Amino acid sequence: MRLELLYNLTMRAVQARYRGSWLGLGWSLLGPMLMLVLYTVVFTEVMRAKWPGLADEQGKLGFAVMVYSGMVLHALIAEVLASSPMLIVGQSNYVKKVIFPLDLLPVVAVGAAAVNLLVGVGLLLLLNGTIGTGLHAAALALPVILLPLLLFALGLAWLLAALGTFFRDLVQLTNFAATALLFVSPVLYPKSMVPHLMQPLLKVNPLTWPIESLRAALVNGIWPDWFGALLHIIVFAVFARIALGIYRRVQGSFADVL
Amino acid sequence: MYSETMKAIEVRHVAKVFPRGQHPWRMLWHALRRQPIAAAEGYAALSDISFSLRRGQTVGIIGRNGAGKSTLLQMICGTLQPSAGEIVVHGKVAALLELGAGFNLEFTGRENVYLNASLYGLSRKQVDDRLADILAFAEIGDFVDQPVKTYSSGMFVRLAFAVLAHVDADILIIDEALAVGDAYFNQKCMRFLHAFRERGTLLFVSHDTSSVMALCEHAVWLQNGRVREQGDAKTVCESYLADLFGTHNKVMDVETATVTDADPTDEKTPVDQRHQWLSHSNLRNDLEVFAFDPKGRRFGEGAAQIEHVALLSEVGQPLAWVVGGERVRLTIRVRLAQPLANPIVGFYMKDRLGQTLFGDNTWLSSCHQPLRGDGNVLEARFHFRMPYLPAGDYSFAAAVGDGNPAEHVHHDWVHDALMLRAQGGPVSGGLIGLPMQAVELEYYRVSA
Repeated sequence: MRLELLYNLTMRAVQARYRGSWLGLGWSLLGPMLMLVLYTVVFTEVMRAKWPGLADEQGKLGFAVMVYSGMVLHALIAEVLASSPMLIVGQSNYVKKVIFPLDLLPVVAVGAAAVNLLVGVGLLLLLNGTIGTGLHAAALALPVILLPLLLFALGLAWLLAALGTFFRDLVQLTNFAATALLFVSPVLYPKSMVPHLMQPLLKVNPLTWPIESLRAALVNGIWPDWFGALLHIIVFAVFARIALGIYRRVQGSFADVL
Repeated sequence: MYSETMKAIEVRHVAKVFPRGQHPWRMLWHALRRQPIAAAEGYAALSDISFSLRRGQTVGIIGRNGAGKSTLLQMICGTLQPSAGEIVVHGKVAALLELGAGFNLEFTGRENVYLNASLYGLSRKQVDDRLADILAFAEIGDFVDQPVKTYSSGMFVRLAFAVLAHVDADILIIDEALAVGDAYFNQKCMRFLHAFRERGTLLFVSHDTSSVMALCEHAVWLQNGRVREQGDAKTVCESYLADLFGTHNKVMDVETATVTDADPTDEKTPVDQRHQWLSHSNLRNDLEVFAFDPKGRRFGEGAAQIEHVALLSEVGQPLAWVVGGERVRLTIRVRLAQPLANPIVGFYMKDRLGQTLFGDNTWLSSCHQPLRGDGNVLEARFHFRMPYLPAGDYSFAAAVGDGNPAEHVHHDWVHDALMLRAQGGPVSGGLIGLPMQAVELEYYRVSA
């Protein structure tokens, strides 16, 4: 029953985003594509950047695929960062006026963002499969690569939604964090380009492993390291569970502060 | 399956304190430790409330605005946590707390029905089966496929109530939202609620004591956040009404000169024959009277000051509540700083748009016979039958002048001396309804 409610609400959140716009769901394709074109033009034409380890014949398209695979994953976390703190404040009806399982609200937000992620990954598969390096069997590992990131997103959403309801300033901070994360994650550059001294910093970034694994699997056909996958899943599952615990503990007081 | 004496709702020593101006850190700290805000640090909306409902019982909660009724309901529904005490609810609760809450304005009525019903735990399949019934109950026609932001408030409440009526709740909690529907829909809701009493528990909150008496066996009267009285609905409602009518009941000893109405009302004054019946139906036109506000907007020369304006019953008791069609007395008391040669006291009643509905003054009654006696206080009394008023806010403006209607000096004019709020009522058209002396409908046969 909760699953059905979750499904309804998520579909609704996805629809609500584009309701009334002419292109509708097409925007979740067009939006990232425009960004992709922008980044590719700026980096390859203006800054003449080269992706290390990328053969010349893969050219601009190869660069685009590399950047885009980082962008789709970053976009998920960026959306959670930007929307979670005001999630409860913006839907106070659900808190104050109806009987509602409140811990679902962050799940719905992550679910809606995940739909965008899936559209993006689908586009990536299509792009690389037709005019890139082609489809590889390692693409079957996609669920294992995406699961840790989704768990992290869920935990982040619960935590930020709980805190943001009390601290209205939080959203300003997380908006900045979303932009900062784009530059401190290996989105616009590969992990290997980062100086040795800063590698540990990159290691603790929750985006690093999923982005690198996604590129390896889709572009080069390399299967993810299973131990790393398991480790990330366990760590982020624990994180999400703790965040849910905190959320559930304080959700009874939401109505008092709205 | 359940025994008759099984409890549906138990409220034990419940209190609610709303935080006021607390720092967010402190609020979070309290929330994390699950420690409520102390009464001294906030606003105590409810204190020490205890009552219980048996399965199948219907209980009405009555009380004036701000008595804590909505807070109590929110806590029973679980949308608000009590600061102290405990609330135990057995069974599935469906609540109509506020108009259209839980509806998403951008989505159509149909989409909202599915979403709303799934909040109450109905599967898509179950809603499919009941959709026809729900839509038939709501009677919103083609609007079902329009976004609900285009709905009128009446359509909103009809749809919300229709969903509520079809989710198999064990306990229904209904706030005053019903007041927005039209009389026809109200009747339908009342029929549903009467039928629901056979199988479920009903908690009903209203200003309208007549519908509480009609629906509920028990009533709880809240006053200033405490239970003032609870027990048999009729008894509690009667003491509640007695209390309402008795507020502002202060006897003042003032010297007065009297202007007597030229045509005093007497027992022979015709009465609308339907009045008795109306007063005992839910078409009763309840008018809430707010106290005179001496600081309200006013202007004038100031040689005379309007000191008090009140609506009294025909025997002279101040009213905080009046029923349309009843005989009332409007008194305007003026304090004189200097004697006036030809005092005129008058009033207007205006609706919320500022349209003057009716009004009168003392000129005609006093122009032929000079006012005898003297004193420093002048009191004018207007005896009339309160018209039926369509739901909404009304105000009495009061004025005192010196001269005649064509040429006079305004000494004091108070814009919103008395405010009224009307609910319900049988007005079928026009700005006010007049008590009819007789209404007849008869067949004739006329040969061609």
